[in-house]
Amino acid sequence: MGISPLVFTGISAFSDDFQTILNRSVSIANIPLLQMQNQQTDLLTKKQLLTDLRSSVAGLASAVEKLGATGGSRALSVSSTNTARVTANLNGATNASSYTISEITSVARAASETSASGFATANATPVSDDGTMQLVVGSTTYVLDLTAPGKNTLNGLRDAINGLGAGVTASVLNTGTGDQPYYLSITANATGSTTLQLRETADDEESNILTADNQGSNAVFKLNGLDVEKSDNVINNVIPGLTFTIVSATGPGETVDLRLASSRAVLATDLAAMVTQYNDARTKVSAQVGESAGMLSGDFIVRQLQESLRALASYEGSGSVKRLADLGIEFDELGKMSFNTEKFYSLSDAQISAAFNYIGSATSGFGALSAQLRQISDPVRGLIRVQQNQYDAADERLAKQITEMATRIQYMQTSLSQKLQRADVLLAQLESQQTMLEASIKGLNLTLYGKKDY
Amino acid sequence: METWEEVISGLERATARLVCIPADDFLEVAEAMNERSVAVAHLREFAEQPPEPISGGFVDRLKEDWKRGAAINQKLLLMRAAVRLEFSRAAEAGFMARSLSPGPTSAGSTLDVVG
Repeated sequence: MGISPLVFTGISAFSDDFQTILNRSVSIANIPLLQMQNQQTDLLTKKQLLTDLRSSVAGLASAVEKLGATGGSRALSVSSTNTARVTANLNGATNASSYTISEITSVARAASETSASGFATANATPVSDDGTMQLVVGSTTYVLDLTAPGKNTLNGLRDAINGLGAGVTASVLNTGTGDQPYYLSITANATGSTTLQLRETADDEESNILTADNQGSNAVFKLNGLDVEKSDNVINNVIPGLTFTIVSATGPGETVDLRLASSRAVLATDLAAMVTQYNDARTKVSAQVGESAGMLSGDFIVRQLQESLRALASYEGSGSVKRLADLGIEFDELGKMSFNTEKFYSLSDAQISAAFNYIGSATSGFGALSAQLRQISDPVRGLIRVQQNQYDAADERLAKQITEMATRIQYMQTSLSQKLQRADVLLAQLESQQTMLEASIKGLNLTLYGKKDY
Repeated sequence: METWEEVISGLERATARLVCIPADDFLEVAEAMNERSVAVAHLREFAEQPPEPISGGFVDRLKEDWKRGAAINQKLLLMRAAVRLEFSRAAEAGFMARSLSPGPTSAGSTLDVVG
């Protein structure tokens, strides 16, 4: 929508005068409303295009980043032949390997004992003759002072133990049976074999008032025939990069294999995802290049993206797999990527190993390429964000101009409205004059010629 | 004593001034229009008790002045039409400007692309 200039082409003798009038007045036709409207539309379009572009580039960056990470981990996955006995998780391992666990004779568990005899009450019955007891946890002993008023009870003892920070938790059990239903329970906070005693007399094992049924146990097994004993079932410091968990004991002659192997499927999935994201980004970038280019034509971000896409598509490494084509990634005449899975799955294990070398890691190879893409797509500091900020600033300036223009036009409307009112008054006044003058002429005609004819 | 010549000349001067003034110079037009109103009223009073008989030549001059008044009327009508047209254009432009303006409570057209 626009405002076309007013032009008088009438036959009236006053046409020139009125054209002059209109030209001299503030010309509405000169108000760059259409220009501003176009600018606003362009800015909005550009921002929308950049948003779409950023989304696509971010998707590509994520796909390439994941590919780099897969290269770093060599798409390793771990499996256990018997998860009821042992489970395992990767924790940074980068090499395919296999381990055998056997003779799980013990699973780590936490020590847990109760008082050998019960107490009549939890809050009144004394638990110590002299109000002093000794707690033993492993090789450490702790003195329990219950001499304060009201503390020499089961509840007081529980609170004193829990206040030690000794790695155990005490609680009072109420069996509800017999005259002495209250028992003290002490449980170690961590698994592993230990000593857990509560002595009435310091350093006197005979005065221990706890049971000796469960002093905890370690996980005991063999790894590739080597004896291993750990206080925890979760073991992350025996095999580098692998965490495994002892779940239950094995039977006689039973073994569990943990296998770390590279997964072609993982690599194939990552490559396919990258291909999809690449094509999406390429399509959007191509739409801004050439004869029918969009609003971002010539934008430095488009050029930057073209370079990044070219760098990705033509990335070369060394070794038997040194370009994407070696992995079954092909390009048509328009530059569109496709993934030939048949070719990929026909690669030898050695070639797959070389493929991981080619892909690199989170920081090299494709990982480094993803970092370049992130510099463009980062939602806070990326080049696209910077460009969008500039467009936002331009949009704000434009909005200010439009507001000022609206105010100016409002003033013009008011002024023109006043002109109309004045014109009406002048016309009425002139009409009155003409009527009066006509009446005078008629009167004079009557006097002069004896008739009123005008 | 005032004569027909003086009265009619006064009217003709007022009318001539109106003809010369640009139509959009409302203040001056209004001033000249008032001057002509006074001249027309004076003519009417003068014609009721003229000190001398009027000649046909004076009547013809009055008729000519009436024609010039009619032309001025046409000029004013055209001028009003032009202003009215300009006003409608201004209204159109105002509507467009308001539709483009973000307004005092709008958050603007900033796009949030974070996340």
